[in-house]
Amino acid sequence: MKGIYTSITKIRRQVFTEVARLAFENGDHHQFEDAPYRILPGEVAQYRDSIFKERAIVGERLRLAMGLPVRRVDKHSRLSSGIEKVDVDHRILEAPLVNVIPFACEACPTDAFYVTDNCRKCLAHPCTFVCPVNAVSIGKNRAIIDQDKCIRCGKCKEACPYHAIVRYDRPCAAACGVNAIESDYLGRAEINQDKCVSCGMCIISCPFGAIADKSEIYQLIKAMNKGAQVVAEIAPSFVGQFGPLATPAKVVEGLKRLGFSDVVEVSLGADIASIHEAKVFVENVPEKQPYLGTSCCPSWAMMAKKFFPEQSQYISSSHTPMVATAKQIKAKNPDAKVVFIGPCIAKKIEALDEEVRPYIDFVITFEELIAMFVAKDIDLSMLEDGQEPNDSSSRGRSYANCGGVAEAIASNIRKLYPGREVLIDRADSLSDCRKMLAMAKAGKRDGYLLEGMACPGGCVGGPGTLLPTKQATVKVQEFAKKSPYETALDNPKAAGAEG
Amino acid sequence: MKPVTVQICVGTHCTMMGAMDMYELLQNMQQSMEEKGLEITIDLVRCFGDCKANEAPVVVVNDKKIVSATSEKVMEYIMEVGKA
Ligand code: SF4
Ligand code: SF4
Ligand code: FES
Repeated sequence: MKGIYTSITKIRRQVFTEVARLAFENGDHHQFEDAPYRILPGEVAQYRDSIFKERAIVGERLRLAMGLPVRRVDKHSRLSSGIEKVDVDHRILEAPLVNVIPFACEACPTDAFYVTDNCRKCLAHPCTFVCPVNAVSIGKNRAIIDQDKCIRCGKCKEACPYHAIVRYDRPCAAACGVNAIESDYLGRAEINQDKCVSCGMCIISCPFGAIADKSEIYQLIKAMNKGAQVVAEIAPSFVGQFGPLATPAKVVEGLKRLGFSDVVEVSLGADIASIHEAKVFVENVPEKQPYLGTSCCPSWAMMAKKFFPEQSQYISSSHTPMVATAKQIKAKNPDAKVVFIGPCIAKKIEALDEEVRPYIDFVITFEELIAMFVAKDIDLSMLEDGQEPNDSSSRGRSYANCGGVAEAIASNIRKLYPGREVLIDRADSLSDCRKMLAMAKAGKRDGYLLEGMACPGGCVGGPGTLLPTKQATVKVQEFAKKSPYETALDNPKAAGAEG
Repeated sequence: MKPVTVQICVGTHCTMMGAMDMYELLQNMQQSMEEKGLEITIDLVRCFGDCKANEAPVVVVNDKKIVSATSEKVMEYIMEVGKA
């Protein structure tokens, strides 16, 4: 429920703060067992019918935030079971990233038409006449839809003059652009991991907070406690995420106070990648490949691999901005650990890839980062300005907004190859991305540059953000304008770097 | 109706606890209320210190401080003050 702050958001953030605090304080396993009582004190339930159930759910959220799997309900185990394995200072994250906490799920009914109280049981009852399969009948108090017969054509809904018939789907499934949400034997949501591309939309859409992803903040903080050199690379959508008074320069200062040794903009990697992709496009499209898809969104790339295996070769294999940035950091400082901080949870999975692993040590979200600030009592608005980041061009910084990626690549093409035309199509949301790829597969996007983004609005709409998307889009634009370099090719740090 | 000034704390703790979502909501309300003759000014301000007592987010409506604020509480109070 992005843009509306609910108690579910609150609990999620309290859980991250608690885990970050435990890590900073080097707390022991007893403190972990007590954590649900610190988050939900007292004996009166606040959100659900029972305080026991509330704490049990918070317990599973705490486990996921530590990187632990959800426990089975039919077997006894302690909340902290398995904690020794995750109480380390290196990455332990394992798939599946996105998990349903089964007993938190209320088993919402799946996609169907329902008759509401608005039904007046009218004399004409057109609903019964328009139904092509005779699924609607008139009951004692209102019309009744036989769900076994219903083929979901929606004719009855259209015909009712009182708008008494509604269609609704379970929110998690409606949000999932790849139909990965199925049901277990009790009708509760279950994620088909073969289909899931870890976009995180179901996490922010479930009104019961029953879905959560795993986090790496605990291990990251442990690494910092041990004195490791940890460099933060921060994604272009960071601007404004920590409040309007937390300017980019203050965010850099705050990150240093947290214990990061250096901070680099991922838009630097965006500049490097956009130059590379411009070249790939001009050299290969349309002779060697019909079109080129952008590489930066891992859920889009994963979706292509899983659902259009023969098309996925046309999604650029140029390393993503995350990796390009990390390469720059590691070239300067081979011992440094690199943390990607962004709006995205799919990057956590991308970082497990064999080719990406060596460059990225941890991935965390803005939401997890702000919990780290709060756990350490750092108020960004009160800090002195640090050095304002200056790693990237305006176009690189615009990667965070939908449309920005294709535009950055196209502007490089226009500069490098004057006269060369670029056709652009783009989609933001997984279901639209699928439609776009289906068009491409049918040969209708030959010669195109295709920008695919799984999150509505682009990265600023990601599940790990804090700022409503509309505001974030504007903030990104403002910061982009402040760069002295217009395009990637004007940026001395990017031009000449290996993509 | 009396003009109302709303200060939303956008310190880090309050930002984590939803200050910017509240801002978005109040901005929308500001527009629709103006048409009804209620003038609302919104300021984004620094930490009040109340977050230390776990009372984030904090919003001040005219002179009244609302701790552990929710948008429901804040809107209700705005209407009260505006009508008085
Ligand atoms: S929306 Fe939430 S509660 Fe409803 S079925 Fe999906 S996971 Fe379960
Ligand atoms: S693809 Fe996205 S919405 Fe669908 S199950 Fe996976 S994380 Fe959830
Ligand atoms: S951050 Fe709002 S009171 Fe401290």
